[in-house]
This record gives sequence, structure tokens and C-alpha cells, in this order.
Amino acid sequence: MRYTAEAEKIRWTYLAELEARLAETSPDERLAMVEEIRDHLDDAARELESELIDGPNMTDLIRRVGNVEALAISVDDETPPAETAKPSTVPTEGSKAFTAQWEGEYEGHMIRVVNKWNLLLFGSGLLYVDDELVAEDTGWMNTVSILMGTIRKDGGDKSRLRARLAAEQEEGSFFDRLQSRGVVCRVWIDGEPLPMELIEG
Amino acid sequence: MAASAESEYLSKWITQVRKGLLDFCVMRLLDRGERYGYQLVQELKQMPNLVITEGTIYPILAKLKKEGLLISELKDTGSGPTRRYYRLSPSGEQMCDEMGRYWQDLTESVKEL
Repeated sequence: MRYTAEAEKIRWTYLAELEARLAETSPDERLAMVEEIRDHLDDAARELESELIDGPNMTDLIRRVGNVEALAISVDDETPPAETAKPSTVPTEGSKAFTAQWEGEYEGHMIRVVNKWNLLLFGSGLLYVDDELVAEDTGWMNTVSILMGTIRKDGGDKSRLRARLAAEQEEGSFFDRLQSRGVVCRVWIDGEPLPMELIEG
Repeated sequence: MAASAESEYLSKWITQVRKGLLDFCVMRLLDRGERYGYQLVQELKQMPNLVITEGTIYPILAKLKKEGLLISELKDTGSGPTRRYYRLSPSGEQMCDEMGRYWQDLTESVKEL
């Protein structure tokens, strides 16, 4: 049994969307869930007893599993969110790891964004304020990471901090973007872009 | 209550009952022996009145595992792919027995009403 390119693309896109939607879940649980759903789709495809699984077949299999939003809501209902952000857990064994870092300054606070990834397509985005980790997005097949946090101002008010890491190659197929090694980092504070300088990578 | 409201009420009630029972059904199946996710889904789909979206089972398995009621293990199945098998832990077996007793008492009490 094998998949057509269209079926493969639909399958990976679905899994990538699920992985992104489970950002609040711990990295281990998120990976286990994505792997279980991937294996389920493969088992269901094998049961079709067809040599070639095409796009419509895959769409039907995904419909049986449930849409990403419904599945993620079930996960949210069943498992509490991870309590605190933990240091990056990008697996590096047997695979070369890559790191890129950007820094920017806002009202005396140092904002740092770190992106780590390896050839097994595990990736991790980390957001630091004054060297304190405030957000992390780790997972498999991440092509986009959204990291959010706050900065407390002197007067006690908070500013909203949002960072986006995305594959530089925004054109081309999903696989082209997935395998892109160039990453663009953009940061906004209360909606205003903050200039960031690449310091590593 | 209008017919459409009655139907909606029944539908919601059935969904809640199913949701509450699904954990128990998963544990009952695993009490018979270890199974992998797809296998569990196929068996649950055979049960009349327990219509489930196939993906629903995986968050439940993750929760039961987190609660220490299940143990999972990756197994190479020879000619087939490596699969994650689930089985009840000793505390899961105990919990399943207790849930079974509660369920039996409850259904008998409801029948007597």
C-alpha cells in the first residue's frame, strides 16, 4: 500500500495542523498524540485493501478520525495544559542540531528568540525576556511557531509580546517549506514590530 | 417543549452518557487483554449505540495513561508496523472492577424506578 503525493500532502498537513493546535499540551504528549493519529490513519488506509491511496481516500479517512479542532478540544478536555514552560527538549541524538538566535531591546528589557531544529524535523521555538524563558513551542514538523508572553512595565502595566518563527521559504510545496532551513523571526509588542538582530545562525 | 428542542435535548443527553461511558468501555476492553489504538476503535465501533468519531479514543488513552491506569508499550509486530499497545495497570484493573460494580448497581437502581 502506498499514498499518492496528494494523499501524502493531505495526511501531513492534517498532522501538522493537529500538532500546531496542541501547542498547550506538553511536548511528549503532543508527539505521542500526533504519532497515534498518524498510525491510526495508516492502519485505516491498510484496511482499504487498495494498492494506492489517493487524496479523496485520505480525506475520507481523516473525516472518520475527526477534524483537528474537535480532536484538539477532546485533548484539552482530557488533559490539563502543561504548568510551566520547560527548557528545550529538541532531540538531537543521531541527528545534527541547528540553532538560530535573535535579540531585540524594548524599554530596557532584552527580548531573545531561539529556534532549534534537527534533521528529524523536530523543532523548538523559545522566547526569553531578560534571560527568563516565557514561552516554548516544541514539536514535530513545526513550520511556524507562535510564541506569546508579557513584559511588565515600570508602572505595573503589561505589554503583550508576540513572536513568530516561520520557514523563510513561504512559496512552494508543504514539503519544501518543511525542509527549509532558513527561518524568519518577527516580534511585535502591543502590535508594533520590534527590530530583531540575528546573533547566531 | 417543542419537538426540535426535545430532539436536541435527547441528543445532548446521549452525547453526555456516551462520553461518560467511553472511559469505562475502553477499560473493559483492555481488561480482556492488551490492544492497540486502532484495534480498540474497531471494537468500540461494533457496539450499537456507542457511535464514536475514531480520533476520540486517543485523548482518553492519554488521560488514562497519565492517571496511571494504563501502561503502554511499543511492540514490533513482526511483519506489520511497530504499534503502541495498551494494557491495564494493576490500579487500572482495580479501578475497572470498581467501575463495573458501580455500573451494575446503577443500572439495577434505574431499572427499579
